[in-house]
Amino acid sequence: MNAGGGDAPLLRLDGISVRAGNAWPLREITVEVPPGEALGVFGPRGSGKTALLDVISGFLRPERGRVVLDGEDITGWSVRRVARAGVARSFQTPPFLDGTMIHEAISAAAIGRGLCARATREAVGRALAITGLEARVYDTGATLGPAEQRLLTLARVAAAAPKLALLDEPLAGLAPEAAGLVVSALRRLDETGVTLIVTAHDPASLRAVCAYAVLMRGGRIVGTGRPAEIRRA
Amino acid sequence: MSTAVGAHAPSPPSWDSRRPLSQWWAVAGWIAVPLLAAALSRDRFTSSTLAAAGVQGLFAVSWVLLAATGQPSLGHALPYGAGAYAAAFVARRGGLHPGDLGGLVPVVLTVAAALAGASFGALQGRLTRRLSPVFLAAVTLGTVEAAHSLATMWTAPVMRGVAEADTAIPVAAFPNDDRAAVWIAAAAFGAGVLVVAALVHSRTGVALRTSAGDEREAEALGFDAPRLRLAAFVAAGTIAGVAGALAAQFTGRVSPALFSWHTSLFVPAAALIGGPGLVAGPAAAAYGIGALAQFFDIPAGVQVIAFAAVLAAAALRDPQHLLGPAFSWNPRPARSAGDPRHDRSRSTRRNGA
Repeated sequence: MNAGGGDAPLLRLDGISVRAGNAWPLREITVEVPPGEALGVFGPRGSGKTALLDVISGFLRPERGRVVLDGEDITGWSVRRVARAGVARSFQTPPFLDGTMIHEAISAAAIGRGLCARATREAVGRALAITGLEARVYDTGATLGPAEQRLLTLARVAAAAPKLALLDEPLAGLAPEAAGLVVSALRRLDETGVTLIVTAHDPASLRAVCAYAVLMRGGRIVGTGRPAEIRRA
Repeated sequence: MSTAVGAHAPSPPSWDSRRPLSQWWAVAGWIAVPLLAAALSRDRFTSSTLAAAGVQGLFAVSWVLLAATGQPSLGHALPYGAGAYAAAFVARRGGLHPGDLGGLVPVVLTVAAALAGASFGALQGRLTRRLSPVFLAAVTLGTVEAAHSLATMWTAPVMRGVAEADTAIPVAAFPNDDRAAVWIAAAAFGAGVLVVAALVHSRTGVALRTSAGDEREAEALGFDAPRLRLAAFVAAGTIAGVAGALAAQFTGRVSPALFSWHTSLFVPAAALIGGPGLVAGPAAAAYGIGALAQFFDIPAGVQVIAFAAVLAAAALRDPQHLLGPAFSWNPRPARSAGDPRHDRSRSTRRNGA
């Protein structure tokens, strides 16, 4: 499917299948994501959402198919090479940042991307503005609540100045009020023009962020459309 | 490589990227204290006590690099002892005395010790590069115990009934003057604290500390976590090797005791006692413990019991802090009211935490 249509896609997954022993976590996944769009990937636990992000970010090598980023075939690239090519990734479990100060945790993303000192400072400033963590900049990771940990995860993604951001379940386990804070930050991140792929169980949770969505079950895409349509399906 | 973020950035950077000065006051203080103590020391006993404390402090501060990368080595005595033995080996094989080579022999021995420390640090790093902190602690402990046995066998092939003192190898002592030794130790300790503090808080240090967490996360950020952790072992081993060379030259001997339990447990215990300061706390604790142990001539066996008690207490209180990226750098909150960087109550309310 082409999420949004129009422009040449920033990301193209072309017939991706992943095998793990006798199981197939992903089967014949074909998706195109235009630059600047936000694609929601929804589905129940075990449907293949995280595996999809793992293939794009290089943690999983597909058995069949190709991953094309900005016209370049990145299939089989190492995780670090994919990251340096402009793909930022967050995980379901927030990072363990016990004694690390917030600005250092965020700047790690920019340093890892290879930005210079000045660009790193600017990237951290933008990430703080996007996530609203300015007041916690000299606090440590140990002092953050669940919502702030997710915001920190988003801040690291934003600070990497990515072309493509892969966000795995950024709202999982959050109370509605806390989820609202994260959704607001996601919208601000989306407004910067970065291309997003966001996973969640419930399409309704990311209605305000994602214009287009795919529904997965059993490693396959079983529905496409707007989040509201997906939900009705 | 073009980037997407930034084209429509919501607002310019609004944070003050300068580090709070309180971070550096602690570092400056623990550089000044041993230098001040050196200036005030008058008698030979005090000088030798302070020289030993400086060496112990330098040794302990090197371990901070391992703690910062989530590698709680219990075998850091290996590069320390290797440095001391390398200095002794080069001096004896070369027939070198402190006045030879235009007075550069101590420098040559220290460089040899640094290389030996780096090599054995690299060995430990290679052996443990894919291990979790618990197994890393066990393997590093195994390496230093093996070194202890090898050092004993090397100097006393028939081990049965051989006292530790009988396995010692004499080294030409440097300097002859205890007052000079205390200044050298204080300068080495201060330099070590400064170098480690600067490294830990540099961009490289941020990368090193990132490698302490989840390896997948570090890779996704673009870091080669195993290589960074290995680099930390090499850097820590280099500094420990230098400390070992100083210890050998100040005492005029090396012995298998350099690889002992006592030496191995000293550094993590000092780091835990030193508290939350990433560099200054452990360095201060090591300097203080080293001075006290020397001043009161506390037997090594008693020290081992005390260090083991500290480790056990820390493990019972919070195991993750003992065997993980344990040491934090918490600047004190700003005293001036209304500083938003430190107004925790305000930010806590705002975020509903």
